[in-house]
Amino acid sequence: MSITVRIPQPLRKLTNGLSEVSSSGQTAKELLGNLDQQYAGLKERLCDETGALRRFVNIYVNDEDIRFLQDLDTPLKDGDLVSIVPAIAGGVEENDPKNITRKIYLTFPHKQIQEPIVWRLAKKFDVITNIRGASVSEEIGLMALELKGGTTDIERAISYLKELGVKVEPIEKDVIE
Amino acid sequence: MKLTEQQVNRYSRHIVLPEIGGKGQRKLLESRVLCIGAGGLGSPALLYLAAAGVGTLGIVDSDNVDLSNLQRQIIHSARSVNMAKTESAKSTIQALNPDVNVNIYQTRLTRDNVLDLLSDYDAVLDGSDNFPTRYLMNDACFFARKPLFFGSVFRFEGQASVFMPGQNGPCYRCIYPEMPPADLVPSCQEAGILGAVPGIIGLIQATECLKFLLGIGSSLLGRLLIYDALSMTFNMLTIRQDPNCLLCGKQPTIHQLQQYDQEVCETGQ
Repeated sequence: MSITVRIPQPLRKLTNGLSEVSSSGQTAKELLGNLDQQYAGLKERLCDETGALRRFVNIYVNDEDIRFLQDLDTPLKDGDLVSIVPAIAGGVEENDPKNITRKIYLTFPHKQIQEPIVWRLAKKFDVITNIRGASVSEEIGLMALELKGGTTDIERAISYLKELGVKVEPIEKDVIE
Repeated sequence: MKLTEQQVNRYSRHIVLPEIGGKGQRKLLESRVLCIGAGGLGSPALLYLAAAGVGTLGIVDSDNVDLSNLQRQIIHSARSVNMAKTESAKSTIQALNPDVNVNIYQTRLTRDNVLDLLSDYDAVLDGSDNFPTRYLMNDACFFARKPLFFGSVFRFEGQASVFMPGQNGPCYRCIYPEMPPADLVPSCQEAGILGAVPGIIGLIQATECLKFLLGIGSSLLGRLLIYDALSMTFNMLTIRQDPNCLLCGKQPTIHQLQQYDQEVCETGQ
């Protein structure tokens, strides 16, 4: 049994750049399971934690949306053509989307005051750090920090800070400039 | 309305087509189309709608022309960098075809202004680059009963379709009930676009729009066109009205325009 699956561009980095891959499965659900074995991470991009298809991705068997067939239980047969079609937008942004800026207030607990945390942050993650204001005493450190980089990198950097016990709060308004 | 001698000459290649003729050309000259965005999709669409003699074109855009736009936004030129996109597009259109009356709206579309803007037009061409605007346009066109010519691009790929409220076809929410969160498919970091891709998709939108104004052919209603430039394939998928659609289904819960949150990339200064 062989089923051809069309992979949309946003997911091709998981399929080594392939736009079409071959797989198998008696149902759409089985197919997704097999695809995930072949190309790890694919299923997570398509299905939520409950296993249901995400609401901004559709799967078509031949030219029919499986939501109007039997959803993930839609039976498949040899030679079927399956298309994965996510909602797309963009490529038309005005600014470099990698270049988002997030401003945060950090409160360092006593035990972390002597640690070079901002330096580590910049070494560990692909973010540009810019200290806009700081006040460090023996008991507590406060800092207004600007992070520049990709959304994911910034999120990861912030999680890292939280893991270290640093309190992170967003700067809602532009209080520094 | 009678075509002038100059108009007969200008539109002669339309007029000789039996599907268009002088009658069809007059229809175009009397038509009014609103284009959302004068960017990658809006540029080619506006140029061809203007060249075709669509009598009134409305352009909504709040941005200025940036040098990095010129790789694909062909209605603008090096001379228009830093100008408002609406102004730049208007001057290109007027140089191309003085028959066209251009209305410009240098503003962001919001739920407070969108229905007013739409009310003056026969059709809407969506050249927006983000999900909040797309859902806003989808809902607004549904409430205002305006045909929506949809297009969207991403890297080397494009999608196009036609939504006609009240006509047995889906709306955008029937296909995609929810906006993708920014961190999932497709992610903002992957953005980038082969300049010719929005050219193709924008012209498919313009073609569908012209056919609608002329009342000819069969449209992309109920079909989703998927274009992949890398493999140079056009695939056609069937899309259906979803009886569970929150907007146009059997038991709708969306009865008015929503707050469409900007969950897309926060752009830097």
